[in-house]
Amino acid sequence: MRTVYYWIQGFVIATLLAWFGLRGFISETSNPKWNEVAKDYLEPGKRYCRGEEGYGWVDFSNNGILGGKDGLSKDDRHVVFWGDSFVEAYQVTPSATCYSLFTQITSDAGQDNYQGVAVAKSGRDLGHHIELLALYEDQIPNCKANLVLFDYADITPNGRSLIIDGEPVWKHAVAKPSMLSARQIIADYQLDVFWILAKRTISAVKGLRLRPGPVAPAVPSTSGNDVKYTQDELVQFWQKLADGLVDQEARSGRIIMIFHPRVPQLIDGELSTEVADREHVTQFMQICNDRGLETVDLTDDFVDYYNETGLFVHGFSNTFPSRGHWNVNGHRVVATTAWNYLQTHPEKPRHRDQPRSATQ
Amino acid sequence: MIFSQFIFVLFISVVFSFLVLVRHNRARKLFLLAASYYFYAYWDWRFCGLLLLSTIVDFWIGHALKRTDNERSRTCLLLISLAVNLGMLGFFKYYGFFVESMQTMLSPLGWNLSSLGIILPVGISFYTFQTLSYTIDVYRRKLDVCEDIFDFALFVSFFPQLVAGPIVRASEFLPQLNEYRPLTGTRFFLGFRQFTFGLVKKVLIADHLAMVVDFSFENAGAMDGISTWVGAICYTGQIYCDFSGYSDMAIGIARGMGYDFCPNFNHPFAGNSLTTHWRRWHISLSTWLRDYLYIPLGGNRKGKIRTYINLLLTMLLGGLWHGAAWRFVAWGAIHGSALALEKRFDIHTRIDQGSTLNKFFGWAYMMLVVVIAFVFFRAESFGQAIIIIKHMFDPTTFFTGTHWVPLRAVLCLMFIAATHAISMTRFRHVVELKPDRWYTPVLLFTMIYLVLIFQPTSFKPFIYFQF
Repeated sequence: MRTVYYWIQGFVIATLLAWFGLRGFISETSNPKWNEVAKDYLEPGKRYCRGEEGYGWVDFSNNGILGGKDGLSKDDRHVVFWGDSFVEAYQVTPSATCYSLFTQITSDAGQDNYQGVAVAKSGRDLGHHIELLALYEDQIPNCKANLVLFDYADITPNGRSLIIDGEPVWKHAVAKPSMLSARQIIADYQLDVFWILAKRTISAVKGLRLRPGPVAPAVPSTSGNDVKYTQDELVQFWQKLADGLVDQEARSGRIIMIFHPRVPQLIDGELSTEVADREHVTQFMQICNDRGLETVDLTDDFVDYYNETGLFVHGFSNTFPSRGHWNVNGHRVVATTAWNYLQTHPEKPRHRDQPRSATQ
Repeated sequence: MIFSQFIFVLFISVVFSFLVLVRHNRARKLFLLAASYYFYAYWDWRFCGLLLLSTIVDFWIGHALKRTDNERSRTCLLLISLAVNLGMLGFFKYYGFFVESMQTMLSPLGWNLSSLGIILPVGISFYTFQTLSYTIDVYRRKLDVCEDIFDFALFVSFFPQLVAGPIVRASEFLPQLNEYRPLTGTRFFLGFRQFTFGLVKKVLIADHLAMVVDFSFENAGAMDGISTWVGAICYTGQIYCDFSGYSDMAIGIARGMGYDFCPNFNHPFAGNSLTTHWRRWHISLSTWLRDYLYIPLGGNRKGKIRTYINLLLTMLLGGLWHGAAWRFVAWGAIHGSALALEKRFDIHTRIDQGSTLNKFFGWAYMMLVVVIAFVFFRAESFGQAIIIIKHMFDPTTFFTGTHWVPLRAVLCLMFIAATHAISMTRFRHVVELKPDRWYTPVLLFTMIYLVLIFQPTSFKPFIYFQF
């Protein structure tokens, strides 16, 4: 009888230990509050952690603006970094992110009334930014520039914001308030540990196979990024994206498109500076330039930083060097490049025809 | 089917439920036999035929050996068994290697040999050695012939140890099948505890170290010397936790069902010479090689030189058993040469009787040999292994290149070091987690929570499945 009691007691204590010990490390169900401005689930003022690549936090302010926790002053000149998880910066402390460093760099340069802020969240792409630029028009006073950071994944037809259905068609990218109340309870009581267990169990049950092998080779998926489009379809898609950005620039102010490649990268022991899908990115940037949008390419800046310091701009000590999100170095390069560009191009140039790096 | 997969949880639940409900020994054995074949067929049902062939051939040869006293006939029967078992192993495991090696030699003459693209049946090296041990023991008249083909088939295919050992001898397992083995609470606890320890080693340690090792070896040459050393040491830790974790799980499952296997690992890095290391590492293989290869070759009975040659030969073949590639032969050669040198200069005894400092140097030398030899074991090619070893010892590249010593590697290595250190102290009984302590279930359940939450997202099969 005592043994049975020990086992029940052991299970209860271990469960409590798992919940109490891990709730500081894992938060899978953050952002439970619907925000009307961001049209997204945000948790203003709350720090949260993610445990997938490493540990860090994001410090959202009201309405999901990063770096503007105490409110935005009309006296400050705001530069907004638009992006996805790179700009959101899970693994980098808020003070070392590109938007915070931008403020610091401008302050060091004697330009005290500049403030870098960000509107960013994991999974967003260019289509999301176009829609959100409209939503945030009134939220960010005295906006001097919108820096839209993108990589190739953000301009790929992926079925999230702009789909190809014969021709490119917008679909609403922003989320809708449809979160289940059970998930909110999980978030409120920080029961993320059990949420992860539930997710893993569901995934294991879904992948369950009872029949003996061998298993047939998996059929390649035909959804999202795997779909191959013709050159004409891609060009139409990019034109639609660029048109959306041009329309938004007329209302929200200056937009600067900043391409951030995943280089330099270690591949099979060799340092690779080759940008995947460079040809497509160049085409997209040319389409942007043709419409008068400014573009900046960070490839040289990332590679130069590595050549000068021997440090990668991607990856963390607990993940893989040169792979994954920007580390502190990456954020520094982005902030520095953004400042250099704005210094050399204080106003929007009249005519552009080539993508360029900040030093050009 | 992998022990750490969800399908296995369902599978083992059905097996244990049956064993609890049914007390008829023969029914239980037949059920376990069917379950074992299902377990094996889960990978590829076509290879069940090989398992069956090996079973029928060795069962028949065992009976034929019993029926005859003619030494010539007996030798012939043994040779048939060796030919069939080693022939299967040779064809499936070494044909590609043979063709590749021949191709290298014959290509200057303009000859081309084609490879058949043969898939290696999982566990073939393990069950081949098991069945061989049965036939050889019967031939040597050290073991009674198994009278029941279903018992023998269960011995060959028993699912806990079927695909990656430990290599169980017939003399150890077959007698356990003769009697009903009740599934008691204590046995279940002991099995569950050992299984959990194995699961922690595999999922929390080995799989996390694998991420470090994979990157480190993939980018060999670009990492600095320190990081290269860390990658090599991490692989030593990974293969230990991966394989001893599997062994723990296998032994735990069998124990829970009422069957006992001998331990396969005993803190192998706690020794201070290679001799002691090999007494603690993959014990079922090292004793198999000793009994069925080293001693038949003459062991240490035919003079010093022959002893050294026998040691080297045994380790070379042990290396080749692991995989059909020259880098495994190199791994065996390093261990064989080092063991021969230890024997020649009586290093093991000198270290054992020496001061604490001697023992420390002995431990450092043992670790150095083990880590370097494992570089050959893990590398994709002989050339990559040489690049890595050059980086480990070249002072000019020691601080140049990408530096990467992730925290997870440090934590995992500290865990391995701590378990080995504790095993040498009087506190080792505390960490055994006795069943009558209140904290035992707490710690076991906590370990399971940690495994479930911190398991890496990418799926990692056991390293020894490829052997």
